[in-house]
Amino acid sequence: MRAAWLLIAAGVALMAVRRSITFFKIVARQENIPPDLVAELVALSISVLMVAGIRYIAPVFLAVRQERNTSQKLANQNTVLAEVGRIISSSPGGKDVFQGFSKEVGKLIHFEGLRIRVVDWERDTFSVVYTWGVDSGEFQQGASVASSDTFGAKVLRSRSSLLVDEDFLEGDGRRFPHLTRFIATTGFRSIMLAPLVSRDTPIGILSICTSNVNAYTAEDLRLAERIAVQISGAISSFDLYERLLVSNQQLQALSARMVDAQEQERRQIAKELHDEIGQILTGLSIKLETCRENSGETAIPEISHSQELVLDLMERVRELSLDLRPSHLDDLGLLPALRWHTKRYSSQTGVEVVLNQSGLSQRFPADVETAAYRIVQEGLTNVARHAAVNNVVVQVRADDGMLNIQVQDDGLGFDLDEVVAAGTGLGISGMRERAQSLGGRVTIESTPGGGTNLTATLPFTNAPESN
Amino acid sequence: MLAEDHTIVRHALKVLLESDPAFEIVGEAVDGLETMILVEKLLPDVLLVDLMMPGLNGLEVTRQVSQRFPEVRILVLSMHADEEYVLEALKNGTAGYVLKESS
Repeated sequence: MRAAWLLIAAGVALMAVRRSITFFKIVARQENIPPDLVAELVALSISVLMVAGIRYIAPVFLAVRQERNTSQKLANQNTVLAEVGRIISSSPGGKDVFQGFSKEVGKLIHFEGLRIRVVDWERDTFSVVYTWGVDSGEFQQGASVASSDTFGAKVLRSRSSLLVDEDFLEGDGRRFPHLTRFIATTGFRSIMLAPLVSRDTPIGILSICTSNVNAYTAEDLRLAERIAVQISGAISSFDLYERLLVSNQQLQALSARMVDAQEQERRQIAKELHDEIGQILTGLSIKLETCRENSGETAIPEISHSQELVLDLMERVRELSLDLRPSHLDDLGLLPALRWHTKRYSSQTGVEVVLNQSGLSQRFPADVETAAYRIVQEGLTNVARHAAVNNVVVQVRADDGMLNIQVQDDGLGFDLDEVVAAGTGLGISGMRERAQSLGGRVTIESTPGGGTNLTATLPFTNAPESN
Repeated sequence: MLAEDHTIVRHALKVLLESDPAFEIVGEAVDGLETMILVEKLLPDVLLVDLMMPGLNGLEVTRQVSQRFPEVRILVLSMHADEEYVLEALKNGTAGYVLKESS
């Protein structure tokens, strides 16, 4: 805009000068001023004009050219950043993306080395997720370095980008041994560091390096920041994607185990129905047939025996049904069901159970009652199978919308990681699934020889109906 | 009056009880709600009620009948010998608790 106005002003000035010269010539002819003097005055005017031209018009042309250059450069930057965005969104993650990435960045900024490091706050380390042009020792891809002594940690904490140039290397830079080693190993002299921030949390560092001295400007640093924003988005979305993959795999493994478990349970029930109940019914049928043939007194012992068989049958069916799901849970509630179960458990396993409770003389939502019952049941089953103890303490407390469950023994204990890794922890993952589906959680602390402590919390929301 | 959802059990009970002239079966109900309606209509001397019934279960029926019709004596019929069930039934106003396996 300014350039346009200057151009118009210059044009007007030029026209005014030309008119003045013409006017001047006419006046000179009329007044008989010698032509030499006229020529001299004209030359003077022209030189004035030239000076004005250089002073006012040249900057206009320069400004126009610079503006065109800048907008060309910006357009170039935008194209590259858009391409970078496309690379990220078209791929679920991995090295290919970063490769495409650094190639695009190379169109904008000259570099001989590019690194992307991701911080692990828990372990306080940096790991190099991508590197180009830096492949020695502690700086290569996959390497993990304690973040505390690195220069990157400083950048990450301050959350502002930083330019490493000669001044810095001679001054502040000496205080960072990791940086000094990096410079010494790679021979780079100029480095730009930009923090990677995702959802307001610093997640890593982008470094762009060259061996040229004082190679980068503040403008380059701003560009590096913009690139860092793109990378941050990419890394956090890869991270999400990977977590999604992992949880998807866990889900598949779990549902496969669930199907297995269901099939096994069915097999057990089928066997029980056929071998136990079916056989008794067959016997009963034969007895009744005998009774039909032998009427009168002789039938009485057969009938008595038949009745015994029926009672046995009733007991077996009842046991089978209670094993599947105790009716106590639906009819009477959690506490009676737990009392019934612990009593039955003790008589079956010989393990004494101390059941402590508070706040349980009320009904809870059915799914909470079922989950709590199953968690205690599974915990007790594990104690009987693995702990080799005679006593176990079960505590169930309800307060303030939260059901707290604890099953504690001082038995053999086990290595939890081992059990989970072996994939045999169906009981444990089943408990976890149950709790999680209600917004609760299950924690198991166990050490070989040090007993096992299972705790679970289950939130319940709706007002419990009194019974 | 009999309240029992299983036809074969209800039938067997009816045959068993009617074999003694001291008993008269005035009504039969197959679920909890029907039991409440019939009790109100018939006001039987004794209600023999199954613990497990669809709709209103036996425990609930017992509680409501003993509150609204205290003159009706209630006998609970159950296959559960556990004290949890017995205690709950007695708490709800049951006069007696009969196990199904006894005869």
